[in-house]
Amino acid sequence: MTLDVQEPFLAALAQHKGILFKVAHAYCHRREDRSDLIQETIAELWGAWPRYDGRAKVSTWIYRVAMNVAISAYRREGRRIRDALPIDEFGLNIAAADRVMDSEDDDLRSLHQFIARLDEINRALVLLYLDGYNQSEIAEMLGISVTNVTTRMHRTKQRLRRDHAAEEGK
Amino acid sequence: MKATDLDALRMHWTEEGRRIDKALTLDTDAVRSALSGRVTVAFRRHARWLLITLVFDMAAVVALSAFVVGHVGQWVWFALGLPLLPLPVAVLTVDLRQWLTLRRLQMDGPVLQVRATLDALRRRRVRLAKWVFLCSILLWWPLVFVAFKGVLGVDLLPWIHPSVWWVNTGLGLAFIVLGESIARWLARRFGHTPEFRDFLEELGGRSWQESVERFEAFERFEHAGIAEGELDAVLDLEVPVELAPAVGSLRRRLLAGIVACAALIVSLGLFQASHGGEAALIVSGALLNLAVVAHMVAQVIHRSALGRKPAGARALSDRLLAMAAMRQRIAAMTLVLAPILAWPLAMLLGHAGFGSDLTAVVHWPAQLVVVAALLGCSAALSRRYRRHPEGFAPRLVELLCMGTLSRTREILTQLIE
Repeated sequence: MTLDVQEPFLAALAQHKGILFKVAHAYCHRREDRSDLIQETIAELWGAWPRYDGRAKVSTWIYRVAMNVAISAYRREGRRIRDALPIDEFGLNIAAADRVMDSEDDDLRSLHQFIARLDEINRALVLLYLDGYNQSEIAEMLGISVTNVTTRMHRTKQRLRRDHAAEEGK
Repeated sequence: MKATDLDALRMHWTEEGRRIDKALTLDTDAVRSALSGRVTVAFRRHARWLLITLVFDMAAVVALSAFVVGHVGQWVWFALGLPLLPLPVAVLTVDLRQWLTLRRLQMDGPVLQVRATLDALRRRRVRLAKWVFLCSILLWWPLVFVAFKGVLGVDLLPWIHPSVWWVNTGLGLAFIVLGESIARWLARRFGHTPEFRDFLEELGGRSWQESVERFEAFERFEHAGIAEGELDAVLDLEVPVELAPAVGSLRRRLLAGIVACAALIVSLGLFQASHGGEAALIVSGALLNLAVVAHMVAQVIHRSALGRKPAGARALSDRLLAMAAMRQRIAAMTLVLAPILAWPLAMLLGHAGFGSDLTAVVHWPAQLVVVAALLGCSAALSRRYRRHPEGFAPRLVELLCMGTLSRTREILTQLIE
């Protein structure tokens, strides 16, 4: 890692580290899996960094890589990510972020549970939507049409209401 | 949940994001030292590994093509070699496409595009493994004969009665039809689960030794940047020291089981070969052979899972859990089918031990009654197994697994403790 390349990369990583945590939290139930996934994402980000041309926002680029890695890991969840170091040795202390999640209110806890029930693509879509991306940005990041994004979002919102009504009815 | 509108929840989400950002700390020095140089080295190693596999694939295609071309005038050898050729060609094609695709793969591409690329690779590999598996019974005889003739120059044809070929071909074709139907049913029933995907990949990885190596290479690619260079030393790669003797003992026992199964298969094969023309005996032998082969394959997979890297506690317990479940299922299924297999076994033993042919001694109405009774027993056992899969004949299951199941569970208990 040469100094002129590593510094902008590490600065970008430090600025958007929350994205890594949020994506990992959405795709992994177990804490140790989240740690492993974050490591894997950082390694992939570093591998892809030379190709980052600055046309997209850094946060968008990080989101895209993080979701690709997360969905890969999600699809082989039974196998788990096996070759990882303890996350602390990798430079990111996620225990504090876990504590933030543990202290969240009912609405957010229910929202996280709802996200966990979605399939991997709709999960990515909701994450991006909640983080303020518009439909054309989401469409570009996921590689689907804007119409598809609109339809999926509409169905997801309907499902959220249905799930909520079902919970209330219990 | 009070809020049911995603738009309303956005504000909460953003606020939580801010708190997470504030709470998270990133030690850039640690990241810097962890990442140094690993990705490029991992890529080089992966490419080198795939290239070696490709060279082997090409060598197999060239050797087999040469054999087929060299025996154009000898129709028997030509007919034996030609059906084998599509297999190495298919393996070569899949490996070549994988190599080219992985070279171009960029993780910063659109999500669905990257997913589609990786899924296409996975689908091709699973499809190939499935066809290798489905054709295995049909093609293993030609493979053995062509290998002996091509490598050692030994002609095994005069040793085998022609009826053995017809029965093997019939069984092989029936297995393809049956296996395809079962595969479709399994895909419909369990296709969406990660466990099934893992099972297919394991199946692909184990049914053909080259597949193991290719799959591991793919795994290494998927973890590029994690397991490389100086970090290997601190990774979870070795069997925990305190478990090494137990794992070693289990591996030896499994090897003994594999050898025992292989000896049984060879004995049955010799028996069949020396009773050409007696269809009832050949079919009986083939049915028993299938049961023994299933156990041998399971033991090979089990043993191989113990030897794979990484072999640390977590990886090992994941694999052992899967192996114990698989062995238990196969042993239980053998017990369920035992009454059905008892008839062919009695025929073989009667012929080999006393020289008597049961089909001639027992009249056909009595044979029908016996077969119907045995089928009824199997159905009853199957019902019982479905009701209590875990507690199904534990001692007999253990016996069929030659004591390896309990040893596996002991290691698992120690790992968990």
